[in-house]
Amino acid sequence: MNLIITALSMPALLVWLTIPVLLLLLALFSSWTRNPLKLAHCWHFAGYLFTGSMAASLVIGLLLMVDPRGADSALPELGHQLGLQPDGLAVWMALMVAFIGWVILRYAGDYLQGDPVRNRFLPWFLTTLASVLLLIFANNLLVLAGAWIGVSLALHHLLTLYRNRREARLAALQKFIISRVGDVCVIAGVLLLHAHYGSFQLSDMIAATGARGQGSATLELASVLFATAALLKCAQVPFHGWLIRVMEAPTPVSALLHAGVINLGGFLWLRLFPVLDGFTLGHLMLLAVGGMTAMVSVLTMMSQASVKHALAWSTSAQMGFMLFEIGMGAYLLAFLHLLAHSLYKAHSFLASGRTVSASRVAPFEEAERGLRVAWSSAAAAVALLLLWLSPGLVEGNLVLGAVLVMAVFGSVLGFPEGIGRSQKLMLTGCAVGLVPLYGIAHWLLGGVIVPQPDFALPLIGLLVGLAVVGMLVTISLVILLTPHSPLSQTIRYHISNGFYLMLPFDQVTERLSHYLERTRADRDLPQNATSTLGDKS
Amino acid sequence: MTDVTLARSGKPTLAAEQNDALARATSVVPPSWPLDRWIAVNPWWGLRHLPAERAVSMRGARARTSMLMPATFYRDAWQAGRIRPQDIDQARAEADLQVTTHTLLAALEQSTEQTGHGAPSVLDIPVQADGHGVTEAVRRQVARTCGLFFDSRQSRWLVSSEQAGLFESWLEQTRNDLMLDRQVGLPGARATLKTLDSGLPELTAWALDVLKLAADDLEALSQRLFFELIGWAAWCRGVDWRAGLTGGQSDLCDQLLRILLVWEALGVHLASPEQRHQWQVSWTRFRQDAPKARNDMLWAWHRAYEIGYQRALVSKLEAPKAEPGPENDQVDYQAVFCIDVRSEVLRRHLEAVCPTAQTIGFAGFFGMPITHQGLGPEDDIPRLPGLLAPTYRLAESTGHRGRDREFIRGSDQREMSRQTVRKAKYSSLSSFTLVETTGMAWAWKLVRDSLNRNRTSPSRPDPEHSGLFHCHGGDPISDIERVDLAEQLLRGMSLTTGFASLLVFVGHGSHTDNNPQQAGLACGACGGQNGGVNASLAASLINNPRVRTGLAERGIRIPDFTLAVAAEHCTVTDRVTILDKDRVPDSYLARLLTLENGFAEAAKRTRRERAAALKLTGRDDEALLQSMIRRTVNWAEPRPEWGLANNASIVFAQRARTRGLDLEGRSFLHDYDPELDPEGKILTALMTAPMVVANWINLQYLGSVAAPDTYGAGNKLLHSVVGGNIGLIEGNDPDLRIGLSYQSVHDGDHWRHEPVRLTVVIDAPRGRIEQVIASQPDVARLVENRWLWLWRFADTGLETYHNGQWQRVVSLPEQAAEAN
Repeated sequence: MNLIITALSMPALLVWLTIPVLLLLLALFSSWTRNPLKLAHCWHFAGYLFTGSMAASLVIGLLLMVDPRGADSALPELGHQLGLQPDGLAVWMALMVAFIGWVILRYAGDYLQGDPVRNRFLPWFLTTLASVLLLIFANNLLVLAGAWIGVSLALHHLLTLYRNRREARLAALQKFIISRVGDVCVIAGVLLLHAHYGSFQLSDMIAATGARGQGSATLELASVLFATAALLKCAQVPFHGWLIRVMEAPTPVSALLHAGVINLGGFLWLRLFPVLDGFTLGHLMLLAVGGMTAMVSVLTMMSQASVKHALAWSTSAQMGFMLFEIGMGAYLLAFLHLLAHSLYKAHSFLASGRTVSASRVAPFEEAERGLRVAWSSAAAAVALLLLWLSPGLVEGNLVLGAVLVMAVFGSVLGFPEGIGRSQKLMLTGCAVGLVPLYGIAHWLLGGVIVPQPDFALPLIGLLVGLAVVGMLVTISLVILLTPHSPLSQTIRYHISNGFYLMLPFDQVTERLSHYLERTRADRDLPQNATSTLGDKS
Repeated sequence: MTDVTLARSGKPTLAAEQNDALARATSVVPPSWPLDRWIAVNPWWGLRHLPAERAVSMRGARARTSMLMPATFYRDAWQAGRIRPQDIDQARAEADLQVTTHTLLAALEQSTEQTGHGAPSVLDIPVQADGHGVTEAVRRQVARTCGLFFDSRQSRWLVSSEQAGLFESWLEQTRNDLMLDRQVGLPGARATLKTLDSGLPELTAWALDVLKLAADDLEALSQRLFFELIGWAAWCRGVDWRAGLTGGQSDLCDQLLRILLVWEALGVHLASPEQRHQWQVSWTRFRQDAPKARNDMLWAWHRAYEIGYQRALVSKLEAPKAEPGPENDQVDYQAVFCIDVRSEVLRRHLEAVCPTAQTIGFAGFFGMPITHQGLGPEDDIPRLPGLLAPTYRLAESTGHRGRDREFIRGSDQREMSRQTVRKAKYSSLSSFTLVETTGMAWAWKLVRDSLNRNRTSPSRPDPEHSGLFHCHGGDPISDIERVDLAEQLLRGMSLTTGFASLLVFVGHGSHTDNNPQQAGLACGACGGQNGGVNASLAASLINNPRVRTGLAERGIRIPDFTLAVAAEHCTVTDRVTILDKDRVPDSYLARLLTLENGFAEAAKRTRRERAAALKLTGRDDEALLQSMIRRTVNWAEPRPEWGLANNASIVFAQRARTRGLDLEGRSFLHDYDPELDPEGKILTALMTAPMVVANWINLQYLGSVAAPDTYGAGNKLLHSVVGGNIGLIEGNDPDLRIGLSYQSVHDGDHWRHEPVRLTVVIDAPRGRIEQVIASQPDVARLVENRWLWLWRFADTGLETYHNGQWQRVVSLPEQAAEAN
């Protein structure tokens, strides 16, 4: 039995590693060939590769599950030999990414039919996903950093599929600047880790954590760099404007970006937190900026009239919340958030055309405020009781407990006028059910993340967290309970602009983009360089 | 502030002129409809009083609004033989153009139509020499206001219901916007706005006084400003239009124009002396520019392109008929189809398969001016042409008041729960946790949708006992009114004698998934809905014994053996479904089965004919059917069908005139028997309703092909739905898009719609047609200003109406062209 399992490990790992390589080769081939038949085969073959990747991940996941039960699969050792880090985190991520890849590939195959960008889409799509997979697998942090850069370079080409659209170019320019700064941060952070641990191998570093000294300035600095990289990657304020602009890419690219790429900032931290030093300055940055973004962006989302724009703001908010959780050391919840958000957002984007049929029914009037608050409070009270009985559900974290109670409260706050008692009971039951659902999700991902024994949330972290939640609750209650009050209507307009937070960076890049375009125009058509300015195309 | 006082004491005559100028500019904006009841709109409708060649290039607008294709398009058509020498000869003769073909060809090499820069706006002029204008920022600001103002479904946080109007709402927001100056790039704008009087008239007066433009210039500027935000302007105009249909008052489009004018005036007010100078220079240059030159040569090419189609049409319509169709007493089935061009293909094949079938063309709402109230929480759905207001309300009922109530309650409650969950999903309090805990479940949805297993069959009760009520007052309709409806229907399609035993009303509809523009593929005559409901209602009216008695009193005797049945034609798969089959008496079942087999065979042939255009060639019948069925449920399908693409003509005549002809799915066909209409009443109705609708559809397609950036909806792949059903934006552009998307008219390699104006062919005496033209100003404008081509069947062939004269339509023989 043991022998079989050990024998299985090597091929599974090899398949795992081969697939990104094959994806890259396929990308090369598909950008080279002009034969439509061969291109069609490329689309098919890519689909098989994603399915194969999912299968390999499943096998590795199973092996990892039997490993602690006495069957020695030798997976980690073999993996490290191949430069892989086969753990629960990687398996779940790889499963999710390959699945999203499979879905988007199928979708894009039909959706881009007859579009001039179809042939350019495939190679860059495959390159992006291959880079993401490599990033997930990598044990060597230099490989990880390389893959990180590869992802954003390949994505750049997807974002500018329609090169003649000015807004698309502007978005790509913003993204390009942000990504390059992020790249520098990641590389510098990795070098600092090397300076501290003397190795680029993640496994070596984790093994050495026991021996690391407390209060290392190097690690502290690395955490700041990684936090900066994550915040930039995840479209956090005030550098989130590009995410809203990349509506200029076709729907499958949006789905890929929002489901498979943007969350890598979170993944970076889930990968590296074990080698950092407990609660770091980086954590505090994630907590503050992530929390701010979550609050601003979720409110902005609520005021958007366009469905894709609402989804983009939602992504920014959800990523903010994920980083907020990481900052609080709730890694498992952050990872759950990452996975769940990816699946949810991929579907929301791909199915955004259904908005018209989904909104056929005009919204009902809301029920009387007192009644709604009463039901919500009752639900929240039950949730509070449950949490008091088993605080482990939120890892004993006061802030996360507050968030959960707030969610239960908010879930049933939208009762329309005339809704029946049985419906109300059912929905309230569902809302309270969120609490045990948390437990189930915990169980599902349990063991994926090994908590740091020496991690403790300091008072400042707790205070920042509570402040963010407090502010969010206050503003939300004003908006949700008195939507027509003058105060709500006034802030509504400001919020629909995202509190103007993207304005400074937007204006800088816009000036840069005008400058670049003028120099380009000067090069191409020296005689009428200024006549095209202000054109909308 | 002296400006304001000046304006107040200004000459009233000037104000009236200015008001007229603004009204003229507003009338040019085409209306648009919500996405869930989207219908085709002629984008040039507001210009119908002008000759087509002149009207389509608007002087003030910066956007391209022309009907002409780029020169290369005509050159390709010439080289491919689509335009033949005799076509260009004829076009040259019509235009009285004294140039050789060689010159015309040379013109194609050098000229593409000149589009001007439009009326100058001060907002285009950069503040610094190396900067850029603020037009784009102003567009965004105004569009955001519109989005917040009109959205009632997407945003979770809606505008206060006490909001007065668009203008007030804009003013309020703009004055409150702390970052206005930075965002727009116009320092001092907010402060200036705050010092001015609030009212719309006062602010407009101020703006016009600052601008100091003569009425003509003001009109040009208004056009220019409207076309910067044509989508939102069209939406405002659509709201105004629909309010007007039901007798309401609305002037949103005017309010939008005034917002834009105030911005322009702010720009002038805050301009630096250099900017102001530059602005005045631009105006002088604009005034001196001759009105955009008519591009006669390109128009000749366009006309030749149209003649190329018409030449083929003439030869078909004038050819001796091989197949006269069945005699009256041989007809077993009469199938009434919508006039839609897609019906033509199916009708042709059905007649070939069932020689004893007679098909009839009629507007697909079958003359039922209804709004449909389903048993459920949905709003009433108008199911009639967008140019009409509904008269009756069709209320679904199971026949039991108790059961109705129970069902409505149940579906309301389900919808309320759904709404609560949706709110929770997007609420700032619960959004994070809900995503975290339930997001994984979306994996299942992704799998289901990826495998196209998303078919949902809504369980609805059988609305067997639906009732018709007056929209006003709500009384049930009387038998006399029922008889009126039935009589209009039958006389309208010239079917008053010779009824067959089965009379089938075939509505049509489209089934697609994840497609915001689905309504554009459904039945336009039913207001962008599927036509089954109207067909059912028409059939039940005809089957009603009291209606039959009433009809008999009015001279239309429907035999007892005649049974009316309803059906729906799915235009994606071409399958025809008989509706309410369980209510068909047993004695008819055998006959119905034969007809169904006929439909099935005709559908198979229709699919084969459509396969090439859908790039599905080389498949057998079953594979073809399966791939078309997949299109109805594929969430990633940008081109489920070609809709009405390539429409080019409409024929008002008995089917005998066109039976057996392959009109390639390009003709609307409406039955009309001149013998039954001595007074021309029916003809008047046909030329004012179906002909106008066909013109709207035709020019909608033409606009989307010829001026895709202005009158087309852009790239479907970048669309995002605004306000649940208001419209679509493309990418990050703030303006709504009107018209058809690129994917609706282009297959990636070629245009799927030939941009030609509609050819109307009527089987009626000269005098009767002239009488309609004389009495109906809109018809006269469309005909005389060449927004369509009017032909009639004469004894000797086809005649065309040209400047009040009828001329024989001749297709020049090939050798005539050799002369060049």
